[in-house]
Amino acid sequence: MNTFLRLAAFDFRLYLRDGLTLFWVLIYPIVMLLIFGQIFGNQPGVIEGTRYIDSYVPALCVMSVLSVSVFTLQINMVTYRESGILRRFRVTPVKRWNVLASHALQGLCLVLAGAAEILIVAKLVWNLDMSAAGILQLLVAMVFGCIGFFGLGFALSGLSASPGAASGLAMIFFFPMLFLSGIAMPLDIFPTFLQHIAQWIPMTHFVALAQGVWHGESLLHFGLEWSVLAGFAVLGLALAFWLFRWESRS
Amino acid sequence: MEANTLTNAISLSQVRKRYGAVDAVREMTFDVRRGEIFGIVGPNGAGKTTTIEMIEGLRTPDGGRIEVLGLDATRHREALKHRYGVLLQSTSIPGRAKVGELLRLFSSFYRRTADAGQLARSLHLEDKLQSSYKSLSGGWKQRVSLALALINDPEIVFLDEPSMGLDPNARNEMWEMILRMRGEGRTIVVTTHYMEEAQALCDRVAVIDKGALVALDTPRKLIARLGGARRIAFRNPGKVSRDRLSALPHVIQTEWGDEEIALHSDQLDLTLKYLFRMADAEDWIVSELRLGEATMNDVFSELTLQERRLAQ
Repeated sequence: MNTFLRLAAFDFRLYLRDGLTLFWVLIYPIVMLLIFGQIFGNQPGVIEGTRYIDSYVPALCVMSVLSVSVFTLQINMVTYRESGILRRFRVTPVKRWNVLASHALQGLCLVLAGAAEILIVAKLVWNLDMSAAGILQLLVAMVFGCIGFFGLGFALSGLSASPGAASGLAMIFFFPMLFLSGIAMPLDIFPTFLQHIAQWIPMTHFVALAQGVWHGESLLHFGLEWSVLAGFAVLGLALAFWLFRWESRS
Repeated sequence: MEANTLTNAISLSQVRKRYGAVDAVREMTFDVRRGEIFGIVGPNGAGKTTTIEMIEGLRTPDGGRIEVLGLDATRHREALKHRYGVLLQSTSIPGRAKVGELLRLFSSFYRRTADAGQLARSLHLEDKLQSSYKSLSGGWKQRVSLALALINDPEIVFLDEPSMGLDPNARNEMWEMILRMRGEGRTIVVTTHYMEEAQALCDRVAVIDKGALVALDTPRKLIARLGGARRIAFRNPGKVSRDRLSALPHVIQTEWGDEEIALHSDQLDLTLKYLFRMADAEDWIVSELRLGEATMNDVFSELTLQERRLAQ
């Protein structure tokens, strides 16, 4: 446990020393919020009596889970490995779960900080309606969703040979998930075949769950969404462990 | 067997490792004694890294047996990691990390740790604890790596090219620190490209080529095997043919410089006799003559060349 916590603290300090990487976590979601919020924010939402912004905020919160996973965690892990530090850890008693868990803890902190920032800005700019129950339920959904998506990020890091390749791979996963999951615009404006594809993307169900519980529906109502996320979590974790590499291939 | 584990820190017996169609390590058998500095030398791709990684438990041999501190290297890999320390080449530490952070981090990995403050003092790192790793010079970086290798007060220390890229001063300091580690009763396994390092530092040296052990002895005995003094150096007289010098009896190699020529001979007396005869006949003088001892460099090229010849 001491190893894991020390490692997490060490990773986090190194991460924060490289200020640029905070962009995807702290700036990008706010830019999205301000742009789309400004255009559509006060228009009526999908659910009777709500505004667009009310559905957009929880969706952005889960988007930050995705961006932290495929950008921050993946690229960090690749950079880490290619620098040779994992090779150094390998000849110490450090286990692979220590490394994965310490990066995951860092990811969780970033996701929560990002969500707090989104909620605060939305409150200040649009006087967003929020309830303690909604916030709490959203947090539960987000933390659960992190398992599979972080696993995805770590799995991708095992496939990327360099930080450059990692960003490329991150884009390939990020943008389709962003547009096909209903975060940027509602799914019903898409052609039918794209709506069918969207049903096969875990992100879509993650967004639906987040929006639903944020609006006060019970956590118990989302059987399909929970099942998809649970399956994705198992798959993500398995791939993360399986594709983990201590050393660069060259 | 009992006595064996008391005197030997590491014991390899007929160890084999294949990668695809390539025999990376073939029938490797040797012991590393407790408390000695054991050198492993060999050309790139000779199997040094594979051998070390099998001893560290990172790779599993395809055959044979490796015991480290009396335990099977693969089966007891995790327990053994607490008992050895490793110095890898300096690129493996993130530049933005501070020295003090690294020491605290690595000491959290182990059940048993050295006193970090005392360790930092003994390596003169106490003023560098707040410095980032990348701001340090090569010699200081190696000191940090050494501190990390010693943080668990290990019984065995593996050093991978410890003086690679160091200036002569830093290299001498590194050698002193390694000798001090032996004085503390640790067993040290060092891989190196520098034969000078193997000669100055190691109690015994294993020469590895093409995955096989080709020689194992003290540097002195390895050198003696080649027949003592055998390098003949003299001032380049300026009007002498390289081909004719190379053709002198028993010359096996020539070094050619504008200032100095050196002949390597496996029969010093005879080569000298014919050298003087040739100088006399061609009307020049052998001046500034120096006879050199053979070095580990000669041992190395001799042994690895021999292997090549046999292989052909």
